[in-house]
Amino acid sequence: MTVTARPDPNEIEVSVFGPGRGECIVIHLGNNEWCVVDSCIAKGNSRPIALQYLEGLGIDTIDGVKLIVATHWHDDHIRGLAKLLEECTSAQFSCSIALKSDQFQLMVAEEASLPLNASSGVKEFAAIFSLLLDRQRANMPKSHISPVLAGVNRRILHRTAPGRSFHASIMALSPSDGLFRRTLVNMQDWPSDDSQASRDQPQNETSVVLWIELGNRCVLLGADLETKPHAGAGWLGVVESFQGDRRARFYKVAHHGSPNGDCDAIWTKLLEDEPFAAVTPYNSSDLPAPDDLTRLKSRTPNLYITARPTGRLPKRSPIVEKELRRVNRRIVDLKPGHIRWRWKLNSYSPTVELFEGAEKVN
Amino acid sequence: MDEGTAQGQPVRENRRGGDEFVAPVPSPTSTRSNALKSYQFWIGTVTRAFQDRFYAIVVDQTEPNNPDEEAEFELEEVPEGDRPLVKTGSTFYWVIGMERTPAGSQKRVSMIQFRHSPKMTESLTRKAEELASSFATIFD
Repeated sequence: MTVTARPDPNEIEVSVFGPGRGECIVIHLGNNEWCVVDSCIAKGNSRPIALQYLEGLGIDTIDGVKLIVATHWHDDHIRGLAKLLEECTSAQFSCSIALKSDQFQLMVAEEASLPLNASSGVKEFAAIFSLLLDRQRANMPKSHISPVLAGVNRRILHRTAPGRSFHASIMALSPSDGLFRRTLVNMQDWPSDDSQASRDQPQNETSVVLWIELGNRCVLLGADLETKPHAGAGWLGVVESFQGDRRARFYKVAHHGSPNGDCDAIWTKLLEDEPFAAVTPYNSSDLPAPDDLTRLKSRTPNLYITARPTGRLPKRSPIVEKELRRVNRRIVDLKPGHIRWRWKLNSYSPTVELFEGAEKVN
Repeated sequence: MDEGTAQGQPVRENRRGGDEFVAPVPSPTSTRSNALKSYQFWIGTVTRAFQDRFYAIVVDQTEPNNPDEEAEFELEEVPEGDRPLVKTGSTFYWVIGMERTPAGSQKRVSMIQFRHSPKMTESLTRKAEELASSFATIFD
């Protein structure tokens, strides 16, 4: 099937995109309604990959996208999210409850006032908040303005309307209340001239993990959540507070396959046996390492990766090439690979389609 | 860009309040004299910094369709005054070009120049606080 073939209204889809340094997940909720989780932009292109993909399917993104989620504000998860929100005018925006804090809003406001040195993640949030503020000034409905706050066991989308072929529900499994409070304390300690590094520190902890129920199948999106030694935090906290009685057949592997994003409890308590799992690499941190893929492969035979770091360094002029000989370099940004899982309501196994360098891990 | 900042012109303002605003460094082709001819220009962001070297993602500004690369640099390539700025998240310009020496000959140069973080002035701080209060209303 071609990449532009549109799913049936009663066909469920989870598409995972990853260029090697970013990720985006596009989900068909049924009845031509879509959700986008995080955002990335292909090199040499100014449009977010989700917009490009949905437009290629012939979807009316103005009306069709109902929810846009920012799992956290790391650069590799958020590029193009403001543009996405700007164009998908029917979509609600959802982010971690931790971002409601005064300290985070001040950091974003400082970036908007003095746009020089913040990470692109903070820049993107400055654009998102400014867009929501514009909508407020234009007296748009509150549902198009106020972010849906994601925290442990908070439902951020629910669709059971008559006429739907199946119900769709999205629940946040993190951040936990304890982590939320700890993050607020950490944010208060941020000096105004701090480097980006320490501001980045709490981001993965406050990642929004999503539990998505689509008819009789569940999907777990692991964001960049890590395992933590303290009780109630990280993945162990998610598993402890999980209130569902079902398990997920599909899993977007947490934190690019890193060992610190993995623990047995994810696989034994939250996932079905041999789930379909997708890894998005983060090449500048060498994630996933070969050992990580071996470990994940031992968890499930249905493991896929969006891109492999196989790009060739570009050729430049002889003068530049001579100077570059003494610099170690490697490609980190590739053409975004695309893993697409589609399934009909009562089918057990999905149709798996791989585009642009995505592959099954053998 | 805010009050008192002109492209490429370091500006100092609000001296009475003791605050000082330092504008971003000028574009790399003009940081030295006109004797530097740029052949290749990247903007880099430090991803990991060690005592003697650092790693950065460099984004090609000369040919923007080129893929982003990670490059390893020796710290001694950075001007001494810029070395305290080398930490995760900081950004810099990297230029490779030909420079004409005072004697008239040409030599190949690789030049790294870090962006200096601006300091918030009192007025910018006030403006940011007001904006943050506005942002808070979208969460109500």
